[in-house]
Amino acid sequence: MNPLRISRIGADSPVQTIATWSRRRFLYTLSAAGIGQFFHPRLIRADARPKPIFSDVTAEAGLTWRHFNGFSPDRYLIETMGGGVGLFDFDGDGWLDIVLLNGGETPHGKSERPLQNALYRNLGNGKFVDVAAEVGLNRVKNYGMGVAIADFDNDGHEDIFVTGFPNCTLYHNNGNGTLTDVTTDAGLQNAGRWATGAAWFDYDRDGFLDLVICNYAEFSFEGVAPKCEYLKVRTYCEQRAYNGLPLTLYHNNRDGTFTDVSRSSGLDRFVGRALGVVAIDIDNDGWTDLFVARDASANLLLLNKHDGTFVDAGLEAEVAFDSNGNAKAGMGADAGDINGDGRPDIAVTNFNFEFHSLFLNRGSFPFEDWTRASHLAGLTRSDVGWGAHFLDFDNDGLLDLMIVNGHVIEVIESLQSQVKYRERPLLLRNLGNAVFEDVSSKAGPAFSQDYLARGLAIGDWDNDGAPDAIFTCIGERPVLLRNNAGQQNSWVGLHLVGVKSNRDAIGAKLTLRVADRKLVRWVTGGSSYLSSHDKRVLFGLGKLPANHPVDLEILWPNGGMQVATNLEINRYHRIVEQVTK
Amino acid sequence: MPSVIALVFAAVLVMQNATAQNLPAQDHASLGISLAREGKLPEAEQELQEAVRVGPRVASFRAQLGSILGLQGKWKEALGSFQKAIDLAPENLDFRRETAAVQWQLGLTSSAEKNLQYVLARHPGDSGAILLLGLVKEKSGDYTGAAQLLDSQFELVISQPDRMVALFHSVVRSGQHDKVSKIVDVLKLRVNDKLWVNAVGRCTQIAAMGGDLDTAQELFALIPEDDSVRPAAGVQLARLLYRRGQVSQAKELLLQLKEHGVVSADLQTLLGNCFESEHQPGLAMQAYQRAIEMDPSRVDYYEDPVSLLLDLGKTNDAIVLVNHAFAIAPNDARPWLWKGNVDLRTHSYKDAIESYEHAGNLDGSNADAMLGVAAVYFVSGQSEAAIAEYKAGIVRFPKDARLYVACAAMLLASPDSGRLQADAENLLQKAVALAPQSAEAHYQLGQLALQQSRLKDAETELSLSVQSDAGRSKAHFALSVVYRRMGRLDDANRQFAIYRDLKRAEESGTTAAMTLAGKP
Repeated sequence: MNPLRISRIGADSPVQTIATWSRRRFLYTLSAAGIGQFFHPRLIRADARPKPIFSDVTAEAGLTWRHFNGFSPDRYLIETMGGGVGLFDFDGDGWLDIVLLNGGETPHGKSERPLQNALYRNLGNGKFVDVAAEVGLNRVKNYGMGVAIADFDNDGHEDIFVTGFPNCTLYHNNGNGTLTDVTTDAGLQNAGRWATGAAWFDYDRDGFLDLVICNYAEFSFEGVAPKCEYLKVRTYCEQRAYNGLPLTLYHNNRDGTFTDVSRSSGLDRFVGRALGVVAIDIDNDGWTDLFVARDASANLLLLNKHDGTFVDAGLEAEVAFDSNGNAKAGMGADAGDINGDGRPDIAVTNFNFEFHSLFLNRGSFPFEDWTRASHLAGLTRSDVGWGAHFLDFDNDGLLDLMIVNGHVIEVIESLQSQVKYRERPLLLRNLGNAVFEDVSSKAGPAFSQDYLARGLAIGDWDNDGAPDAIFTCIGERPVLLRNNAGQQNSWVGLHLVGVKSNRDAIGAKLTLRVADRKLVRWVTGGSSYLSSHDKRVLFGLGKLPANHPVDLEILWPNGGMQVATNLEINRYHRIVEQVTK
Repeated sequence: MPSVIALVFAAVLVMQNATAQNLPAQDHASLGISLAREGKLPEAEQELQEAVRVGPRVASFRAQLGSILGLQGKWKEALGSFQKAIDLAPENLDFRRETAAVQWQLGLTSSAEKNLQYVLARHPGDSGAILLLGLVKEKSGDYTGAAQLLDSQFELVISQPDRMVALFHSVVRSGQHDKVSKIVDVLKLRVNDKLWVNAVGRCTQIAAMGGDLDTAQELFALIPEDDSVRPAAGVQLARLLYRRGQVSQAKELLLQLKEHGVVSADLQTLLGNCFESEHQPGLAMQAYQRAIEMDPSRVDYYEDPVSLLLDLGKTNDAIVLVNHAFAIAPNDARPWLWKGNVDLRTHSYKDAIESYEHAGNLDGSNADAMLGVAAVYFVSGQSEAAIAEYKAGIVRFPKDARLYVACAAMLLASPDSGRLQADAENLLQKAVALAPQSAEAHYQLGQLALQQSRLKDAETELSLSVQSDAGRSKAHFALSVVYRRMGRLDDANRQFAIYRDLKRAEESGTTAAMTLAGKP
């Protein structure tokens, strides 16, 4: 039982809310009541000191797990590509837990210790404990890449899909603190393929989540790896040395099994090196579409045709290639409304000198390449980007952008004077109208250090209304970040529960109206790189007074519209889908 | 000897301009003229030299001596003699005309023009002077003027092959395409005359170099298969076909020439270019190798194979060839440029800059070395340094379009390209003025227009780019984007299909270069 939980209000009403106070707000209140001195002085003293935007609390939280990538003289490309992370409430206690995927061994890259995944349970006090072994997740069954987390069977518990090589794994959350590998029964092996990003989404609006898998390249540990070198040093080959693969789409049969519909949906026609995927309704027709970032293959904008098939509009949208017809090295992707016009825009991370891309959705094709106008070009010129996610870190109502970076070629600094091997993450603040400024220098020590970063997950793991983050690093510990800035402004959080729609409400569109502002957010599937995020939706409200309620309009994935009015701010609201009889 | 000179010399030789007091000198002169008519030119020269010695102030003797010297190809002495004749009789129009003919022969075109303008000011209808002035202007590069003058003397021009070539050259270079067909018609009538076949061959080359494919093909078809002018004309025609993207036709023509026994290093090199365009690097290397073997002393023939080896990632083989080039041409800048390219490819940036700078020290007459240094800066990510190098190059080589294009491309590729568009456009317009056929300049202008949503302009520029070089995937891609925005989906799909095929071929070469060993 969560000691901070306050009792339900209006259990019979269509809108059931549970106010969950953050730990910090609780401490503030007690401190104001003069009883704060009974608490650990460090906690109180820490609140009084000025803080950077994000604090690196990895050690403090107890995250000691390290990623292992099987680094070897053979330089198998997979060694440099992994590192998925997920933020989700594994045990339903209202606190986000963390799953971290290990890579694996390679023929000449062995681990001294048995490899393990990690599942860090959030204790609610800023600390985490690894329960992977207890729950049945610790064993590394394949070379692990990413995670996609959602409640595929609508039983109220988040399940975990793990991508990797040569197979994928589906863990069913039994709701009792254990997981069961149901891959074979479910039919989701994706056998023989190097799978990378994945996204749960309900493409046919039957209320059950389906699964799209990005497959990267033809690959094997058998035989001789392609051999490439720079300055006589063996390095990882460029991606073009590997042939791409088609996407995989599994339809949820609603009985715990899935059917491979890659062919009938048309997704198997799209052969390329797919990495990042985000599921969102791009064209506002109420059906979830897909944007797929691909590495030296054309990006895909797969529009849902409502009949189980998809059509690629990447060329029409002008998001597939750069202006010279080159396919950039697309790795991570996210979608969100960054200019306040109510339409989802798209960010894609790429290689150094390619610039990470930003495409504005103007409601018709083509999208506008906003990479330079947003300043993203100049800010990301020298970076190799992976995980990327929009977040309103300061709760001012504008979506900002966090990107994690890291190169793949160890000798790059000898080849390019302005490019580094280990690179810094970026925190880009939206100044309005989708123009960004780099605030990394104020973002905290983690943003002035260099990493080989890969996965990035965003989520409010301390439930204070400010989005936090965690990112992974090749061969190293992850970095857990706590947001110190978001509490300076008002916010409101929504936890949607589907009834007719999929329980996680993936695909829902939320429109919040307050004063003269209209903010639009979505519950997306996938996004970033190999990672899975908090499915609650946070709206930053700026300096809105605490007693100023807000109204919310929800377009559920199955098409139903629901309105919630006078929502109290600075708290989370759990909203269950209203189903008319 | 050029036919026009013989014409005017003949006129001078009939002049009799002596006075009774010079009779002994006159005898020498008369005898000299007789001997000249008999073709005994050295003896004729001796007589006229004597006439001049005895009668040094008789202008006609000087002129006649000049004529005889000219008939023997002794142009400098002829010029001296004629100039003395003019000094003695400055109003003599024949002397002026003769002098101009010799000056034209010696390449002293402005002096020749002055003399001819003198004649025409006093005798505007002087057809010989008009004809000669046309030839002078052709030589000095005033093709518009030359074409007008020569065309006005068409009947004189068509009587001699050299004059015909001069007129054709002027017409092609000045873009007066409407005059081409009547010249071609004349050539067609005279093609059975051996003297004229050579002219046809030269005109074929001129048409090919001027980009007039139809005329070049028409003229080439007139040349007998066994004629000695056919190889050179054929290679030029093949070169034009290649540049127009008609690679298979170019290759076919070259192979035909080869089959007919034409042995030419230029042919082999161009054949290699064709194979390269068709992504047959093995056959291309064989052709390049044959070119080198045919003429091992020509360092020119090393450029293409070095470039191909670098594209294939075979840097060791490339450096071997470069070292051969050093051995045969140690003081030539080009092997240093190629070494710079190898250094760049192997990421030895410091060595690359040194190699390019060495090339620049050996030959500072062109921008190749500066382009190389800028490329090093670009590849190593030093964009500002690259732009600075290009700008310095533009100051030093203001007529080299490549610098303008490269600088503009760098500006447009930068993160701040939005505010640099005007500068880039300015540079590109200058590039196009210098090199109207520059595929890259038109491509960049097309991209600029596309970014500014000027779709019609974008279509025009990108079409020009494709016309100049149909083998670049990016131009077809950009054109497909334009057509798609215009709603012309069939055109868009067609261009995209061409882009896709070209891109695949481009990337297959790059992939081969990337890996040193095979895939698993």
